[in-house]
Amino acid sequence: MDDGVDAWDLFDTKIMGCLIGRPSEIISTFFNIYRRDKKEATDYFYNLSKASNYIRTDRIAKDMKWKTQTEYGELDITINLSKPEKDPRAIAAEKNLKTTSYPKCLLCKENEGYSGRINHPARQNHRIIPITINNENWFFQYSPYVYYNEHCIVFKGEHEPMKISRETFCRLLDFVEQFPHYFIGSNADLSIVGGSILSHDHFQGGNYEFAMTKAPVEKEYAIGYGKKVKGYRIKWPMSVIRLEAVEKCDLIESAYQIYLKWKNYSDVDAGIISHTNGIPHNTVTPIARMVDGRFQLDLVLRNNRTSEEYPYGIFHPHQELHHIKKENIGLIEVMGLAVLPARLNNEFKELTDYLVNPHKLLEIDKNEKLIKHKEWAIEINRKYGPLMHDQVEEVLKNEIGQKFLKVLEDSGVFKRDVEGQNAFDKFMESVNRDSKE
Amino acid sequence: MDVDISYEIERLLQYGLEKKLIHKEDVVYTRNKIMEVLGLEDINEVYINTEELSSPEPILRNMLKWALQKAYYWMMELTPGTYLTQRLWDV
Ligand SMILES: [Zn+2]
Repeated sequence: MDDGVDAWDLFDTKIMGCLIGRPSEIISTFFNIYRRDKKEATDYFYNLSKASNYIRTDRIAKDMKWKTQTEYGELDITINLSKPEKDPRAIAAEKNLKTTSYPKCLLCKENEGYSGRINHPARQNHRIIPITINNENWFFQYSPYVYYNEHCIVFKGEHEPMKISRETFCRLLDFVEQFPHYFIGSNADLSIVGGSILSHDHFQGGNYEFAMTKAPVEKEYAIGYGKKVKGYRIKWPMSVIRLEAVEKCDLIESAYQIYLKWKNYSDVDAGIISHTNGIPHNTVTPIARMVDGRFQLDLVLRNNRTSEEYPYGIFHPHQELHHIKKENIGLIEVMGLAVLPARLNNEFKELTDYLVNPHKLLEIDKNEKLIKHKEWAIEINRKYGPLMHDQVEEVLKNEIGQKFLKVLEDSGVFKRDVEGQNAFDKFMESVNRDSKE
Repeated sequence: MDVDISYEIERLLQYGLEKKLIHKEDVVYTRNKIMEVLGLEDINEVYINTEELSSPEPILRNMLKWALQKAYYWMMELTPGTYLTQRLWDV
């Protein structure tokens, strides 16, 4: 697949565009159902998005999916065979790109009904639902790639860059109040630690329980605000503060204060420096949900500083993991679902031959595609010896899952060892101290 | 084998009804829209068997094949061996 758009897609999308109702019909049907039952409304819209072939279910079915058991629960792995990968530095460059074309990006509302062109998908069969969050006009749609069940996207009516602010927390909590059966999260607003589209403010949500959602509470923190907001550290390879409250406004206020505190927080011993020459490094990946009628907000602490040793990012998968994952660790990965690029599918298939016949490993240098997996393959061979045909796939899947755990550990700002967790406590103490002043 | 485009259009309309993308009042109108997209002025009246499809992909693939065959006969006279004619063999 070239850049994800084929002349074929333009052709069959145009045909499917004949079979779908006008936006106003879809919207009125959606809200008629919504008034009666929120879940039924999203079911209707999700089924419509699949039936119209906007979500190409036959292609999605080709994605490879599995789970790997780790000490942090079951991590999800997907090898995406329907979407191309992007270099993080290209993503960073795009943020500054002038936007002159129409539609301005893949998310803009102008995509609805657009006939497409060779580098932009046709969307005649695409429909979006207007919603109001934080008293602003936003839109609700599903992701055409469905990385997990009912993977939805909520995007701003205006083409404005990603920005974590007080409003972000208001919008996220407004959304889960309106769609209590869905979680919703925002990517961070800085390169390296953000998602693949930084130029248009948007969230991703859906109906799926990630490993991070299920992660148990490890410690409770006092964070001020009387007893109205509870704060916890959860057992997760990245650094997550879980906040819980009955009232939205209490949660927004405490989340915002923690975010502000984190933005300017440095702990040199832990390698955390908030600014370089005035350029900020600290931000958060926030995720909201409703649990038994209470609002829950996870703040995942992020830092995008680079160094000579780690030019791709200090809190980013390190070089030795790049043969599996070097793309940005965004919201979805943070929660425990690895989205791996399509090329890996073929590479792993070829690699199985070397693991079944380990003497071939001596010649792996001759295979250009597999050189980058060499050390890993040798390590697997050392661990398991020659593998049988019927076990090699299972072993490889498990080893990929373990690599993904390392990816998350590298991305965590406070490491999971004693020093790291003490540094986490120190940050939380400073949060609590400030909130009392 | 040549694709019977009239048959594929009826299959797609049936799929649309089945998935509630369209209602029975929309059938004639939608048939005309699809014909417009395919550049057809005329089609045959055909009868189709009921079928339950989870995706319109098999129908769309046949329609594409039909379009490429049409384009193929036309293109063979102009530019044999081009990208489009190459892709025809993959369908
Ligand atoms: Zn946009």
